[in-house]
Parts: sequence; structure tokens; C-alpha cells
Amino acid sequence: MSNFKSGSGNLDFGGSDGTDEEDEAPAETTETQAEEEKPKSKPAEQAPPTAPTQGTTEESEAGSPTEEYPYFVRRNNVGDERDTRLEIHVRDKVADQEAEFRNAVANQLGVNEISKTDAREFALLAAFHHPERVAELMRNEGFGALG
Amino acid sequence: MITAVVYSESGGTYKTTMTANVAVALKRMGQNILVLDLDPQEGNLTSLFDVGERRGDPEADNLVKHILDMPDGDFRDLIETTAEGVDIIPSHDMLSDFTSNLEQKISYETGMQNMSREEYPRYELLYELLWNKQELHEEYDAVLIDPNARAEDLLYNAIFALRTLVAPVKPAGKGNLSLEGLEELVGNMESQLDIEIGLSCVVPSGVGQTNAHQQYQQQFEDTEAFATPVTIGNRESLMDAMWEARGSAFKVIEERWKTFEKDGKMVSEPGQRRVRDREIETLQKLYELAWFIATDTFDADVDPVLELEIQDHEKKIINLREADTTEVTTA
Repeated sequence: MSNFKSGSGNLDFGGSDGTDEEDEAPAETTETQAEEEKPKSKPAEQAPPTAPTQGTTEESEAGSPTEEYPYFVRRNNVGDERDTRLEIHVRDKVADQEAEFRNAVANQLGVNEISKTDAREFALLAAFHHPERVAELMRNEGFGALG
Repeated sequence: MITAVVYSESGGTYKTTMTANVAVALKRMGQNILVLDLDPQEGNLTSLFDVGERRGDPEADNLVKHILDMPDGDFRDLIETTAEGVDIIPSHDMLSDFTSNLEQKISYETGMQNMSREEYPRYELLYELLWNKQELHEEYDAVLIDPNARAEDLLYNAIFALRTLVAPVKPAGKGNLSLEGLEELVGNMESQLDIEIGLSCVVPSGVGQTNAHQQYQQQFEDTEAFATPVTIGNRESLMDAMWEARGSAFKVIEERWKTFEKDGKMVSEPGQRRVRDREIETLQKLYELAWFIATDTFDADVDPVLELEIQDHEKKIINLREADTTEVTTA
């Protein structure tokens, strides 16, 4: 009798938000947002304004967004095309560096801030491009020292 | 990201107290949580939490102005934090005129942009505000909405924005799994708007000890159509005390709020309520409900342990992973 889908609906943010005892962690970044009325010039907003269409813009329908535009140009919001959710568990000392890292990247790009989701995805990508540096960091923390 | 509209066809207080209790439970599980009160009526979540001082002031900036993209201030200034750490955007009287305000907005926009009224994305405005403009998923782990009861623009906006429903139901006579209205609503929205709406669970609430009630509860628990992780018994005194404590059932028990007669008048005070096992059990059920929504529906990683710091009483610890309540004395 029921046509309900059991569970959650289709809202995907390409979730970057693993729960990591973050009662205080995100606060520092968000408070600064709240303080300054920011004329945001996020990459997302350089996207050509598309007329709102019926239905959602966030579903990547098969074969729709043409790859001829780069990601930040063709996307409308931070969740677009990010259909895989990764949850990572990190030490506090690592989590604590994230705000600083995001600020540094934002500075490089000449914007006020970049979103956590963007920062994390591209941090991962940067690591993929430089496995030797990842290995080096691990060795510095004693990886293989007992081998 | 946990997102749920707590929807009940019949309105009434279960929806509001349940939203408050699930919100506080999620907070206690370590989630950063925001609740939107879209119910303009008296006795809503805003009055329960004693926030929204300017809800009756037409000049005040409020959520409607932001949904319609005509803000009078910073969105984040709308957010208040309750004593229990839940962030809330309070209700405002303007919510009751949402549709007429929206119609005006549509007339204006379609006139300016050379589009037809049908083309205007009238149900997508809240979605646009929460996720695209404000990117709240960057900041919160969970967003809940206590919606207005009538099926109209505002409710559609709420469902379109969050996509997942939690449905408290109350006993309504035998053999009535009264979700037909909800099914119709969801079915229509899905086909019209091309979205997928999920039903996290149905929560039979206010279930008493009568045969009819028990049968009704059984029917709900036996159905394959949707999940019913918990049933909330008839706990009027506990839920009523929430209005005195200005907070959740957890707060009522911990601060021991009680309403009683004193010098011929009814008064409410903390420190007076007896600690009753069945009320502790209700807290556990509410915690289980929040746990189900977080883990089963949304796959979130949350804290299964609830520590109740009851005033002048030994601490109670409920660990959902152990399923039975153990008592520990406070050190």
C-alpha cells in the first residue's frame, strides 16, 4: 500500500562532514563568517547564472553536465557531482590545522574563504598527485621504524 | 548530514515536543544542530524554547524575508541558541502570510524576467537559501524543521529542502494507519518536482494502555511499509513540564521540573519532580529515536551514550550499544 521510500531522500552534499567530536572545531571558522558580512566571491559564484529549472540542479543526470567547462565553472553549488561520501577519522592535531589550511588556500586564490568540502577534496587530490610526500610525512611519524 | 521534517497531519503538540526532544538528543550525541520553526501558531517550538522575542514585530528581519530573497539583515543574526545548545531560527508572524508574500514576489520576478508564473521555482526557495546561499551543511551536522501543519507552499518548501520525513502519529481509532494524506502529498511532490522523498520512520506517540491504543500500536509495528523504531507512551505530565522548563524532556528530568498546587495556585518549579523509571525509559526511547534517524537513516557517526545528570540524584547512564540501563553513582 505504501509508495514511501524508506530512509532518507535524495539530498546529497557529497558529504564532507564526518562527525569528529566537532563541538568546537567548526566554530572558529563559522564565527568569522558571521562577523564579517562578506561579499563572497567564491568560485561557485563565478558560474554563469543558470535559469532555475523545475526539479533539482543537484542531480547529475546521466550525461548532462558537459565536461567542456571546468568543475568550478559548471557547478551551481558545493555538492554538485560529489556523490561519494568519505568519512575520515583524524587526530585532533590534524583537525586543528584545517582552518589555517583553508585560510591559506583562500589567500592563494585571492578569495575570502573556500568551503570545507572544496578544501578537503582538493587536499586529497594534491596528496594523490604526490604520494612521495605522503610517504615522507608518514615516515616522519615513525611509520616502518619497527620494521 | 542529517535533515528531517517532522511532519504530522493532525498538527498538535507531539510534533513540536518531538522535534525539540530529537534536536536535543542529537545535540547530546555530539551533533551541531539547527532547527527551523516554520509553525506560526501559538504553542510552537519558538515558545517552547522561549526564543524569538521579535516574532510579532513586522519590522523585524525574519526567515520569510530571507526565503523570498528580501533580507533586512544577516541570515546568521536570525539564529538563536537555546540553553541546551540547539541552534534555532524562531518562528515569525510573517510565516502565516507566506503564500501571499510569495505570490507578490512571483508577480514581481516574472514581470522582470519575462518568465511565466509556472516556470517560477516556488517550492525551491528554502532549498536555495539553506544549501546554496548559506551552505549550512558546511556548518551543521543536522537540520530539522518543525513545519506548519497545512499543506501549502511553506510545507512544500520545507520538504523540498530537506527531503526526509519523520512522522509522529497518534492513535486515531482502530485500523487507521492514517498516512494516506502524507502518501498523497509525497507522491505528488515527487512526480511534480522530480525529487525523491524518504520516510525515515513513523513514531506512534501518546499511546496509552487501552486495548484500542495497544492494537493500534501493534498494527503500526507490524507493518512492512515503514520503520517504527520506537513507540512513545502517553507521557502528558512529562511533555507538559517541557513548557515550564523551556526545554526538552531531558531537561525536565535533569532539573526535576514539576507543576503542583501551592497556596491554592498552580506553580512550576525545578527540583521537585520524582525520578520515575518509566520517564527515564521515555528519555531512552527518545534517544533511540534520534539514534535511529542519525545512524539508520543517515549513516552518521554519533555518540550512543546518554548521561543524565539528575539534580540531587545519582547519575544515570544509558548506552544504546548495551541496550540496558546501568546506574552509576556520581563520583
